[in-house]
Amino acid sequence: MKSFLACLFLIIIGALIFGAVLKGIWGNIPAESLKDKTEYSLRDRGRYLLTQNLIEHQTFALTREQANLAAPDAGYYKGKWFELYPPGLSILAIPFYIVGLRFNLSFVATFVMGGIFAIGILIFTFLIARQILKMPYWASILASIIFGFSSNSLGYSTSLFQHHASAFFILASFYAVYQYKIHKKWGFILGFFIWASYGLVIFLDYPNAILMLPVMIYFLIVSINIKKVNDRINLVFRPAIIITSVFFILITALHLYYNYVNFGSATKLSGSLIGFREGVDKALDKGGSLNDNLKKLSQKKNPVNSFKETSIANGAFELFIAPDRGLFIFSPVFILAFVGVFYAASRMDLEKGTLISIAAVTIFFYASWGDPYGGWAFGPRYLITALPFLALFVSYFLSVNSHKIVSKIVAFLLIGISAAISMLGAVTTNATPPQSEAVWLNSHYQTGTHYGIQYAFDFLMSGKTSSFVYTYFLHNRMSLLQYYELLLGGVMVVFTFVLFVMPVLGLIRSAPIFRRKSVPDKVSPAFVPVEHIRGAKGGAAEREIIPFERKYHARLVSLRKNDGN
Amino acid sequence: MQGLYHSEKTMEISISENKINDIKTWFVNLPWYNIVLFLAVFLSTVAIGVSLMNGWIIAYGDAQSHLNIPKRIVDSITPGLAQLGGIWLPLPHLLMLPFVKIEILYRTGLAGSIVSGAAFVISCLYIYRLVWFITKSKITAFVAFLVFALNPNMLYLQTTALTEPVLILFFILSSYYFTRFIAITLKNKKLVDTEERARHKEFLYLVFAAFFAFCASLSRYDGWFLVLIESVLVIFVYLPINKYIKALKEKKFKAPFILIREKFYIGRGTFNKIQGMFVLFSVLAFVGILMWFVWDGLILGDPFYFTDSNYSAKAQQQAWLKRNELPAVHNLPVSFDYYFFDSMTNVGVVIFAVSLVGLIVYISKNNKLFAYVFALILVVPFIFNVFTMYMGQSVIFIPHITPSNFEWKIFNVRYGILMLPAAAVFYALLFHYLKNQGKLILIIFFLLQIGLYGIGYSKVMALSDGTEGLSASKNTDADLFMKKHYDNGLVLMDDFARSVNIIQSNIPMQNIIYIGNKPYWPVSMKEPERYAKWIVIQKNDEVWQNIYEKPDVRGRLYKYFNKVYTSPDILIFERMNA
Repeated sequence: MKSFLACLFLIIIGALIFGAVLKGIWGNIPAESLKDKTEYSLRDRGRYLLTQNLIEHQTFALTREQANLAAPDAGYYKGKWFELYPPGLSILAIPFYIVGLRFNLSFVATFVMGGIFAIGILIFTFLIARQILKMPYWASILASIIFGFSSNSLGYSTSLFQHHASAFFILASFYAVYQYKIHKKWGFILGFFIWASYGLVIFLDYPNAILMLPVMIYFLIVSINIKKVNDRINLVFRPAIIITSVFFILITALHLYYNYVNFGSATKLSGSLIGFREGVDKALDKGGSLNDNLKKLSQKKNPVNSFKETSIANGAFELFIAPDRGLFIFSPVFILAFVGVFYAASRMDLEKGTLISIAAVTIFFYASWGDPYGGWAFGPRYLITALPFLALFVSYFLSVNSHKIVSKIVAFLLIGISAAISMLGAVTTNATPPQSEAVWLNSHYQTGTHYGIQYAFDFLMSGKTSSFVYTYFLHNRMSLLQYYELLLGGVMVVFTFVLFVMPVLGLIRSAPIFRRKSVPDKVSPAFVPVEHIRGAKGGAAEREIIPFERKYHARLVSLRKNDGN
Repeated sequence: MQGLYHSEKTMEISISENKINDIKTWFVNLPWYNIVLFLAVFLSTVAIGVSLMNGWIIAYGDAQSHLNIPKRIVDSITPGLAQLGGIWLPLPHLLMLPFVKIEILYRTGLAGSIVSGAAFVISCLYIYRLVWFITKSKITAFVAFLVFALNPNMLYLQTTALTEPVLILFFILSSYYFTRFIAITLKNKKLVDTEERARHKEFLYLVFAAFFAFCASLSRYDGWFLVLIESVLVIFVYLPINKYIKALKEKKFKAPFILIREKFYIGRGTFNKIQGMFVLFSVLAFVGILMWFVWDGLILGDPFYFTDSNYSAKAQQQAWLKRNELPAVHNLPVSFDYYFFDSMTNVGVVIFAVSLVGLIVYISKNNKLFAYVFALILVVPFIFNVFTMYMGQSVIFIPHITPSNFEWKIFNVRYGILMLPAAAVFYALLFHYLKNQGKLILIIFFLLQIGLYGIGYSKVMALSDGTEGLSASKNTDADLFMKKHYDNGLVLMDDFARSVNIIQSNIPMQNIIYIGNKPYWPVSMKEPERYAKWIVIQKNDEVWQNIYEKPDVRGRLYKYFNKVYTSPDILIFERMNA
C-alpha cells in the first residue's frame, strides 16, 4: 500500500513538473512552418518529422525539405533522405501524434511521450530502490526525484529524444529480471518483456545494444542456478530465457527488414549513411554528379570508427568536468553517486553489480565516443541513460548515512544547485553550444555567444522559453523568471519534504508506541545492524543505527532470529 | 495465460558432489607451473614469428640502437667493452652479446628477441609465483599470468631489443623476493623465539631481492628508484610501526614528542638489526649504480655523463621544452595524467580499471603493513615515471591527451607497460576475492578487453609507437642508396643521428666509424679522407658540424670525395680514388 501511494505521489508530482516544462507549439504543425517556430530549443524535430511522415505519407523516407530540418541527424541513400537514428522512437510516438492530431496539438502531444517515459523511470527507480536495494521509502522516493528534477534529464523529459525511452526500457528490464529471479511464476511473461525490450531499445538507438548488455548478462546469470541437494550438485537452468528470445528475434528481424528495404542491405545501419550537411556540402563543392559523390562519401563512413580508446580522456572530461557539458557542473549532486558506489562496493551483490555495470558501460561507451558533446545540448545528454542508476547510489549513500545531518545538508545543497540548473534548462532551452563552438562563433562573427549554463541563463533573462504552458497560458500573468522561481520553489519543497520530513515521520511511526506486534516484512539494510548482514561486529556498522531506534531494533533483530531469519 | 502464470519447468543436470570434488581436485592439481612455462614459451615464439614476418622487431629506432651497442663490442673497428657507452645502462646489451655475434640474429633483430623473449618467459613464471605466494591459489596465479602474458603490448615488446622486458623481469624478480622477505620479517617480528631457519630465509630473500634490484639498476634508470624504495622499506619493516600507530591514536598531537623522547622505541637490538640488514641490502643493490658512476667517470670523464651529456634524455627534453611541447614538466597533475593514461593504454582500459578496483579491494581487505608495502613495490614504476616527467627527464606523448597542435602524438608510449605486472597482480587478487558470479564477470571483462583490441577500439600502442610514432626508425632513401651501392670500405657517420640505418643497409659494423671509435673518429673529423671511403652527413649532426660547417675540412671533403647522394637532409660522399 505504501509503495502504491509512493508511486501515486511520483506520478502526480511528475505529471505536474513535466507538464509545466513541456515543450511544444500549439497546433498540428506542418513541416514547412516548423523551423521558424522552433527558434530556441526544439532541435529534436527530426523524429517528430518522421512520425508525421509515417502518418501523412506512410514512408520512412524524408523529403529534402524535411531532411534539411532534421539535419544534422538526416542521412542520404540513393536519392532518398532518412533519419540517421533507427526509427523506433518515431514509431512509438505514432499513437501520441494521432491523439494530438484530433485536438489540434500534434506537436505537443508527441512530446508528451517523453514525459510519460520519464514518469515510468521515476516509478521503476523507486521500485528498484525499495524492493531490490531495500532502501527506506524516503530514500527510494529521493532516488526517483533526484533523477527526475535535479538532473539535466529534466530538460529532455518532455522532448523527443531517445534517452528517456532507452532508460525506461533498461530500467524496467532490470526490474523484470529481478522479478524473474525471485518468482518462479510469470517467468515466460517476464522473459518475453525482457527480450522484447532488448530488441526495442536497439530499434530506438544502436548503442543501446551495448548499454543494456549488463541486464542481459544478469538475465543469463539468474537463469542458471547451482543447488546442493543431499550429496548431489544440481545445475538448474530455466529454459524461458531461450524460448522467450523469440520476441527479440522477431523485433530484430523487423529491424533488419527495415534496413534491407530502405538501405539495400539488412546489415546496413542508418547511422552509416552519409550525413545530410556533410554530404551535400562536400558533394556540391566537388562538382559532378551529386549521387556519385555522395556514394563515395558514404562508403568512407563507419560509425564504429568513432568509438576509440584514445577519445576516453577527452570524453570523460567532457562528460563530467567540462564547463559546457560536465555532469558535475550541471548536476553536482551526482558526485555523491560515486561515494554511494564506494559504500555499495563493500556490500556488493549481483544486483548492485549489475546496476553499477549499466552506469559504467554507459559512461565508458560515451566517453569513448568521438563526439561526447551531443551537439547543441544541455549538460551531458548521453549520460541520461545512466542517471537513474547513479541517482540510486546518491540515495544509497544518504540512506547509509541517514543519521549524519551533515551528509543531508551537503546533499540538500547539491540537490538545490542541481535542481536550479536543471530547471533552468527545462524552462529555457536544451540546446546550448559546446564551448569550442561558442568560442569559434565569437571569434569569427563576434556573436557574444555563451555556452553551457550561462547560455540558458541568457535565455531566462531575456524571457525566451520553450515551455508550452508558460507560452500559451501564463506569459501574461508572470515573468519567465517568476515562473522559473515558482517551479524551482515547488521542486525544492518536495525535496525538503522527502529528505528531512519523511525520515522523521518514519521514525515516529516506528517508535514503540506505534509499533504493531507483527514484524515488518521489509526492513531497510540501512536500519539493520551490519553485524547481522555481514557477520561483522562494531565499527561503522553500529553507527548506522540511529540511537532513537536502537532499542526498537534490538527487539526487531531478536524477533527475526526467532522467526528463523 | 494460465500456463504462463504457472511455475515454468526447469532443466536440471545433477552430478554427485564427490564427482565434482574429484574434478575440482584434478583441476587444481594440474601442473600449472609447467602449463605457464609451456604457454609463455609458445606465446613468445608465436609473437616473435609474427613480429619477424612483419618487420616489427626492428621497427623502433631505439631497438636498432640497442642491437648496435653489443654488436660494436664484438664486431666494431675498435671492439671492446668501452663501446657500451655511458647513456644507456649496460645489462641488456651485455645479455645480447652472445647473440649479436651471429650476423643473421643481429640483422633480423632476433638477438634482441631472444633476450627479451627469455625475460618474458621468466617474468611469466615469477608473476605466477608471486601471486601464488600471496594467495596460495594456483588458479588465481594462473589468472595473473594470463593477464600479463596475453597483453598485446607486452607480447610485442618482448619481440624487440628494447630494454623494458629486461627491466620488467628484474623488477618482478626483485619484487617477488622482497615480498617474501617482508612477509617473513613481519612474521618473525611477532614471534618471541624466531626459528633459525626462518631467520636464514629472511637473510636469503633479502640477498636475492638485492641482487635482482642490482640487475634492474643496470637495466634501466627505473631500477634505481626501485633500489631506493626497497632500501627505505628495509628500514621501515624493522621499525616498531605498531607502537607508532598506538602512540598516534592515544596521544594524538603529543605523539611526535613522545616518540622523540622514547627514541622511536628503537632499542639497541633493533638498531643493530636495521643497520645490518640495510647495509647488507645496500652494498649489493647500490653497487650497480655506483659502478655506473665510476664507469662514466673513467671512460667518459664525467660521472654524470648519463644525465649531463648532449646525448642524455634530459638534453633531448630541452629541445621539446624550447618548442613548448613538454606539458608535464613541473606540472604534477599533468605528469600524473600522462602516465595514468599511458599505463591505461598499455595495460588495456578494461583490465586497468578492474585492477584499480583490485588494488582498492586488496588494501581494504588487508589493512596491514604487508599489504601497503606490497602494493607500494608494485606501483614503484608509476611513481618513478611521474617524477621523471615532472622533472623534465623524460617525455611521453599519448594521443589520449596530447594537445592537438603538437607535431607528434605518439612517443615513448611503451613506458606504461611497466605497470602491467601490478595490473596483472591486482586483477588476479580481485578475481581471488570474488565469488563465482564475480569471477565469471572478471572473465567476461578479460574477454571484452581482447574483443576491444580485436575490433580496433584499443590500439596496440607500443606497436603504433614503433611503426607510426616518433619512436619509429626512419627509413630513408639514403638507406636504400647505401644498401644498393655500398660495396666495401669504412663509413663515417654519426650513429646517434641515425642518418643511415646500419642494420637494414647491411653495412658490416666493423666498417662503421662513429663517435665512439678512437682514434678513427677524431682523426676523421680533421682529415676525413684518412680512413673513410664513405661519409654520410645529416643536417646538423656531428659530421655536419665538424666537417661540413668548417670550411677547411669541407675543402678536404670536396677534394677527396664525390657527392653521390643528395636529399634535403642527407648527403652521401664516396672517396674519389676508391
